[in-house]
Amino acid sequence: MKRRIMRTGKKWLVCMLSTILACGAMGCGSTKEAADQSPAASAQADSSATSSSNEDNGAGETRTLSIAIPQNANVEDYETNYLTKWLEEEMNVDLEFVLLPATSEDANTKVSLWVSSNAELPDVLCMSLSDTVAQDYASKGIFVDLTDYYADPEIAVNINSSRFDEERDTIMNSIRFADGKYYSLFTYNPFPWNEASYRAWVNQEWLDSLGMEAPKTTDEFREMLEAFKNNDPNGNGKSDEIPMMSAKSGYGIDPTTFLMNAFIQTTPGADYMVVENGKLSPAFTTDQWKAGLTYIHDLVQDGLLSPLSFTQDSTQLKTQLTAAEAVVGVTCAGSTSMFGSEPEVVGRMALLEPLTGPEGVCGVSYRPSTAGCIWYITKDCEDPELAFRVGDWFFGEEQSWTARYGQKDVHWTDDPEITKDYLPMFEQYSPAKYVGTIYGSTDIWGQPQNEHWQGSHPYSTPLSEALYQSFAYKEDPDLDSKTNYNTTHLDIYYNKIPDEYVTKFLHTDEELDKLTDYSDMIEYVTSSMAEFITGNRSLDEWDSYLQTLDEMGLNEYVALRQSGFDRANAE
Amino acid sequence: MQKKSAFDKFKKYYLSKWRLYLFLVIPVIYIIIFAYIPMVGAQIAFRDYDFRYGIWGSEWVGLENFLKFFKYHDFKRILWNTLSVSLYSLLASFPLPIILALLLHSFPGKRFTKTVQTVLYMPHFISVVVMIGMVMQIFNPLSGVFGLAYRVFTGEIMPDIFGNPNAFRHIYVWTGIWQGLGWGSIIYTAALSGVDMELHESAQIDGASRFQRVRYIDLPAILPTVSIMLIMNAGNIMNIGFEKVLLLQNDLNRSSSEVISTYVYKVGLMSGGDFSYATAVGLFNSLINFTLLVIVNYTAKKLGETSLW
Amino acid sequence: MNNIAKNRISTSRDDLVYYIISGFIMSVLLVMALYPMVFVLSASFSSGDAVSSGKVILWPVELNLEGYKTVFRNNDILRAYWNTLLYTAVGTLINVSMALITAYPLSRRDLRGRGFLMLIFTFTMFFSGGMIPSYINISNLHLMNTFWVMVLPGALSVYNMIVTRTFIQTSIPYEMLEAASIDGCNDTKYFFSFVLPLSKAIIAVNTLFSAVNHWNAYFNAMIYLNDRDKLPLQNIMRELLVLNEMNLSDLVDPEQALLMLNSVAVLKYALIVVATVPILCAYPFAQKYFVKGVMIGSVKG
Repeated sequence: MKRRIMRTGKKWLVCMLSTILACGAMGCGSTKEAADQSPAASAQADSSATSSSNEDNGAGETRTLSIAIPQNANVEDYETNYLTKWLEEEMNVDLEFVLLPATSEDANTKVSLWVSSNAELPDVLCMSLSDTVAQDYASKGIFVDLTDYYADPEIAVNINSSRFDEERDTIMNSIRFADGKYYSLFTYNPFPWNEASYRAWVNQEWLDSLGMEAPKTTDEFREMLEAFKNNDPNGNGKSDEIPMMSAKSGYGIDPTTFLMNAFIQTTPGADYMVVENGKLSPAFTTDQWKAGLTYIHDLVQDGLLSPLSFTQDSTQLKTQLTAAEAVVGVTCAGSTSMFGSEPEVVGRMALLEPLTGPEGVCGVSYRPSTAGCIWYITKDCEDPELAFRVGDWFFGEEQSWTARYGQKDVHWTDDPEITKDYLPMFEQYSPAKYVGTIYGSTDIWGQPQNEHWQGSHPYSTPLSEALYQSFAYKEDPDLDSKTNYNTTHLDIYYNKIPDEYVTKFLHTDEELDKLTDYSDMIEYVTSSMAEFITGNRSLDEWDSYLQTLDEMGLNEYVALRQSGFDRANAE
Repeated sequence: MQKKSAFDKFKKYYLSKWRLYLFLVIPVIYIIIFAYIPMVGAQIAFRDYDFRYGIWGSEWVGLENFLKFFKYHDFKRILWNTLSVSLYSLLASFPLPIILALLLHSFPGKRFTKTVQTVLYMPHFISVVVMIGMVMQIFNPLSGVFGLAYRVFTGEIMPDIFGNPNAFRHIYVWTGIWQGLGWGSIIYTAALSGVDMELHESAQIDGASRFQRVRYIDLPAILPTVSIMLIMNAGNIMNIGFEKVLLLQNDLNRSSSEVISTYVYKVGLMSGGDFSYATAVGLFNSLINFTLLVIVNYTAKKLGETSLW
Repeated sequence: MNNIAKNRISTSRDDLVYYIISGFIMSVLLVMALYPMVFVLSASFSSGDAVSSGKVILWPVELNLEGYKTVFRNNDILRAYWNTLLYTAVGTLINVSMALITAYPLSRRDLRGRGFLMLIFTFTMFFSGGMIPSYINISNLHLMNTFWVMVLPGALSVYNMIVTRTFIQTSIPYEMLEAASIDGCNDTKYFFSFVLPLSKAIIAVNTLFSAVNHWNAYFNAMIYLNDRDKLPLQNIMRELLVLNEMNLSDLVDPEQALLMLNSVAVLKYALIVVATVPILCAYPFAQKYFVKGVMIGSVKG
């Protein structure tokens, strides 16, 4: 008995010690792997022969560019991707991909560790960084200054093409850094639907069954909600109607913004700042704001707006919205995807016009489309000009359309013979230039595919082309019978955008550092808003709310934002 | 003379026990390489870390990073929220796995207890995101299972627990228990396997009931494990993960749900990875944790129970 | 006589009450823990629309295998599975060995400097250099992007070591050591002949904890590995899941992103099932060693 234990014991010892010894040996044993350590090296290892000989551009010699890009589960393989192959052939380069983690948070962590430990970086970081991080890296010399390349039409061929003539200023303004230089190429895909995304929807069937018109003012809106509550619009004999409901977070989902805009024009993404003659002032300290809170509070008080709107997430909202028998009258959502995919459920909801408040205010929250930095060329890149040229290549018209829709004449077409039947509905909004028709059944966006990079790289469809995009589907049998929310939206929301608005805040390092002291300012505002509205806090405490904001340093905060705003708008 | 004999004793001791120290050679080398060498880098909490100058070359700023944290105007509240959530969590979730392990151990139907054990161990593997999504769905006053049941029994709509700042702690702690109960009991189950069966047999002959045997045989047998676990849990008091809190947070419960980790997370997002600051906050948390551990350990030692050292 | 019989009856009645109550409690717990499992399983077999609109309550709604199809269409899944198995197996072996060889000497009351040694081990549970110093350290050790970076950092879990030490201290009587050393058994022999065989339960716990840890680990892989073919399962899973949780404010065009989100609502449940079923199977194996009376047999033998 004892001997047996001893024997198994010996086995244990051998096993254990050999493992541990092996571990110990590994540290010095693997020189080959040690060579692979830096992120750049692992991509460049097998192509070290190709150096940075700059003299001739594509006369036989293929040069290598290493690109760090977040992994995307919907891109099957970057190396064999259609877009990659096309690019490699046309630019005579060999792209080596260093794949970053897929979440932007993880990718940022990884890159910041590379940078912070002085590892050798890949030639290009093809990802979006937060303004703060990008500013920090740029000021510490991690990125190559691209200002001269941009200015040179020989290098920035596509960016300087007529395709961007109308919007080049807008674009360049939004990717400029605080020091006035440019460190990155961009992605720019404006789309009006996304710019005023805080929309409200009403159940048209309920309106019809009660014989009501869609409301135009806050008073009419309230009357409508009361009718929804009391007059059994779904006709099942039970008072199970929820006149209005939304959720705490989601795209364009927020119960307050739509209503508050009838009292004061306000935009959550712009820190609720009002712009007047170039001066910022917070909307959330005004009397109009208080009036708005009172109005919404009364809706909650009288059971017209469900208080769940402030606590539930979009899944639970969707549960209510997609119920076979309608229970929700009004909801706020940016996307029709909240109504599910049942045609009759989607079809019963109609866009509600922005309301006019008692003071005659009728605003829309507005965030203009801006270009985002996405192609940073790093200090370790031996041939930044080539890296810039490759980035610029994506801005060709066909490249950009491929980036979004896939191969030309396979997934989309600009053949006028085909497009003429599908695009006329947008004609009134812009000088018509029929760019493309998508073969409806083959939209590969959001599907695992190997045609493009799911848009995570520089590319652009400027506004003039973008207006026609999403809703021009070929092979869509009932195109005409569908309500086109996109055009309705242009009619009733887009024409109410304010004259002055925040495009972006462009801060210096010091300002960004100071801003962290006010990290909870806006949260305090939204929390208080929810508390006032639900009655968790009485509106009698309005003055103490203002005082707290003051103590938190609201004035300094606004001043900081003002300087960021001024810098962004400076020519 | 005296000295020499002390030396002899010393020599004799090590000559007979050197094997024990040999066991520790690898672990000690290991912690030096993987824990103590990088620990030198924790000094960046006192510096303004700049990768261009490295750990040793960055500017020394003393306690600035700590002060930045302390002078946050709501510091007291988030500290209190952190402590109250984790204390509550400790009080509620510490005893339950012990009770579960004792119940499982004392129940006669072995197939049943094995099933219970296996199933209870599973929720540990569900990600927090999915778990919170499920909880929010179940407790939704209008569409959730509980909400519907409440409506059937009382005729009224259930109050919304997620919008109640006072309810946040309970939700946080009890969902944690739901998820971690079975997992937490594993250690005690293992410890119970060492209980001497003869004690049970003789107690049974003396007419002790099952409950009495649990109380007077099983429980004392695992008491050393219990006190070690308590000591280690006390040293964990400042560690509340931000992920679950953020998922449960909304505009209405923020006053009680903002804790240190969520605050640091948000500042980190804004400042884009200020490593010096993050290290300073981490160091502060560790300091409190470690101090607590030392105090509890000391108390345990005084009370004559097991202690860490 | 009568008295004794009565006593016996009343005792067993007490026991019965005890068993009924404890059985009831455990059944309630069983149902409560079973629910999320059934829910996840059902959701993984439902349609994306049903899941994202909260229609799944207990059983699958609009039965559909889309989630699993998406998971297994991913080219990297199988290799990632293999990597995870490898990291888990080797990592667990190292973890358990390290915990045991550390816990054994520290469990001995006759070890001089025991308190100090415990302190320096415990200290590392609380204080670390933080992310950058660790990263630089790994880089200096030339472990970056190697197999070993997945198993060496964290090779010694002080927590598990302390649990193990407590077990050895309390379950293995000191008298056994005395008896053994009179028989001329040295400290190494004692470890292999007595401590190891009597610590099966705690070895099982250690194995379980370490295996689960390695199985679920993704952070080290994320920061230290650069080659895609070395990534473990969890990292690949996260990539798929990310599509679900994308931060809309990061994107230039949220409406386009939403198009992506809807198609994969069901994915996260399928992922949980695929990623956890293997590790769930580990428990029954560990459970075998939790049988009572381990101690008694061996003392007598």
